[in-house]
Amino acid sequence: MRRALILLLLVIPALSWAHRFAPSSLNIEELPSGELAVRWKTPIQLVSDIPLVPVLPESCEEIEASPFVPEGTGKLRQSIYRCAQGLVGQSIEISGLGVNQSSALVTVVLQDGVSHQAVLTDQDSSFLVPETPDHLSVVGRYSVLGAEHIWAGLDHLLFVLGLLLLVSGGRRLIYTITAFTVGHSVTLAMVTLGLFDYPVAFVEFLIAVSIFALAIELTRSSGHSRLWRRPWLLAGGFGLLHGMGFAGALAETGLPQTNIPLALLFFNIGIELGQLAFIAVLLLFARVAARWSISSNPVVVQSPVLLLGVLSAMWCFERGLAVIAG
Amino acid sequence: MTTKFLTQRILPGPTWLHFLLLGAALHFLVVSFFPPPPPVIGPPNIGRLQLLYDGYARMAGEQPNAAQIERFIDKELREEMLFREAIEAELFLDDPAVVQRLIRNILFLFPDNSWSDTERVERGLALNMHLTDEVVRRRLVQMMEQLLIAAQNLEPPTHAELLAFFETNRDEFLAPARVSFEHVFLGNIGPREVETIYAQVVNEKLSPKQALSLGTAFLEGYRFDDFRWRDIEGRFGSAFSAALEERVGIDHSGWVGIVPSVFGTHLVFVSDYRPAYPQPFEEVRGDIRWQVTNERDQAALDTAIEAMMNKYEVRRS
Repeated sequence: MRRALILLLLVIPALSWAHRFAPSSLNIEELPSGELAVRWKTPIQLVSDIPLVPVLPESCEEIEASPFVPEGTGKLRQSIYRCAQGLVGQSIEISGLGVNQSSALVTVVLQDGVSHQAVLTDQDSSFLVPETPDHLSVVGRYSVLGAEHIWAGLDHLLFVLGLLLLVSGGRRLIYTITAFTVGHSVTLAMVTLGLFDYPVAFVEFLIAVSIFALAIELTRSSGHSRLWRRPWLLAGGFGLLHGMGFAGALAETGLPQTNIPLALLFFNIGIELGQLAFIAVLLLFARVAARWSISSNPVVVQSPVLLLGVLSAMWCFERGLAVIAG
Repeated sequence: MTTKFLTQRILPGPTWLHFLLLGAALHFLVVSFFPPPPPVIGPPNIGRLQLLYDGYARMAGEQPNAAQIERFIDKELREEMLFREAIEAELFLDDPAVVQRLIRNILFLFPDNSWSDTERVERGLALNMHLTDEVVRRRLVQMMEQLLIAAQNLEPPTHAELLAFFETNRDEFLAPARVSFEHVFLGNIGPREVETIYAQVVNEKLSPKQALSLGTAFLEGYRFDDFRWRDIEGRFGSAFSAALEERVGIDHSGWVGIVPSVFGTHLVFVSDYRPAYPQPFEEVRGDIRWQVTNERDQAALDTAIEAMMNKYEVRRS
């Protein structure tokens, strides 16, 4: 009975406890002198006797500090640090988070205006101040990222395949791919720059619908529909949807604070390069098929369309159900 | 394309319908043969478990045994799952307690801000405080538990159920024994002297009032009416309460003897004693209703949580 009571006491939510579980705040500002102005605020009441303590890199030395002063339900301590190796590339840790079931907001403002913010918890109690990437590394990293994304996204590739089948080649191919590029570039930039938000699941569903519509278009006799005659309308329109999909991938990676336009531009260029490489591979296949005289075989010609139609229909079901499920 | 499409050679109807049918079949096959892996719960956070072990050790004076450790692990896994479900259901958006907590946290972190409460909540959510704050976590777990119980649509217990519970748990519904007594406080004098004073009280048949002059001052007073044993224990300590209970068991009234307490030695005169007695059903009906409802809610919650757990792959370590 006694044990049960103790267990019960341990599991009763302690909602009424003052502000014991309040998050702490560590603000570090790099001064023009290179020294760090550190502002540490933590709750007066903690759950345990073990205090929460910010741990700066080993190369940092505290050269001046005020005693703790009360501020609301917390206490505040301000200090000046000198770090021989700077802060970039170094880790900042808060000790005692687990035992106090607490979290801490760490804000670092560097001399060049770049700022970083992270919430530290028991599971993730340190923050590595990242190095600010230079232009060249942004160009390289985001180009590769863009190319990787298009190659990893089967739905986008199938759409490009569909466009290629629709227009065959030549000038029509250039116009169509350009329209697709313009379409997805517009929404990619707008979403990334926060100009509008969109329902992710619904847009993913619409992307599947766009491929399905393209597959249907490919089963029609050539030259009969307006879309067949002006494929760039379809490519540009659906490109707007695919751009939102690309933006989702870019959001997962994040953008460098000081180089947003450059990163955005080269992510887009990476997508284009990946797209062009894919088209080159397809054209190569087409040439091989022509050499082997199988390009007129209806099975060879229609199989990609069948693949497009069936896969996109499957995605329509899968993503449509996800939209309904909310 | 002037030739018939591939699917039209074997299926009737338009091509788009063929795509849809084949797509649906493929979707069914993928879901059936390659279902997505279940979400994983656990292993429980070592730091959180250690806190529970430490808390138990502090209160019980001993380390938890293997069975208790398993219960703590169960509790952590249950809470983790309920918290995750609550986050998925976005319960944090509408709950006033969570909203107030986020506002309070932001005010704590940014005391000089002039944001509106809505902006503070938005900022709190942007900083993932609904995911990292312990109070929010506990609140959301509690809300999920309440929702799961409410979803069971349990009927209130019937009169017959209450009566049956009363019959099988009569011992729990005893009115506590009550005792009225007076005492003479002798402080910390030697046992011989105590015996002498007690003999004088008994031989001269002194009333408690007359005997008072033989003792010393006692700040808590000299007369205690209608006290339960646990009240006496709280006032005089467990040794006094136990010794007095033993004496009262032998002799219900009058001078019952020398009784030690945390303060010193007392000579105790019992003026009235009423032993514990079973209370009638109607008097404890409210308590019974609460207990029956609580037990049913808990059982329903356990069942619902067990069913919910089946969605997850549970990793205990």
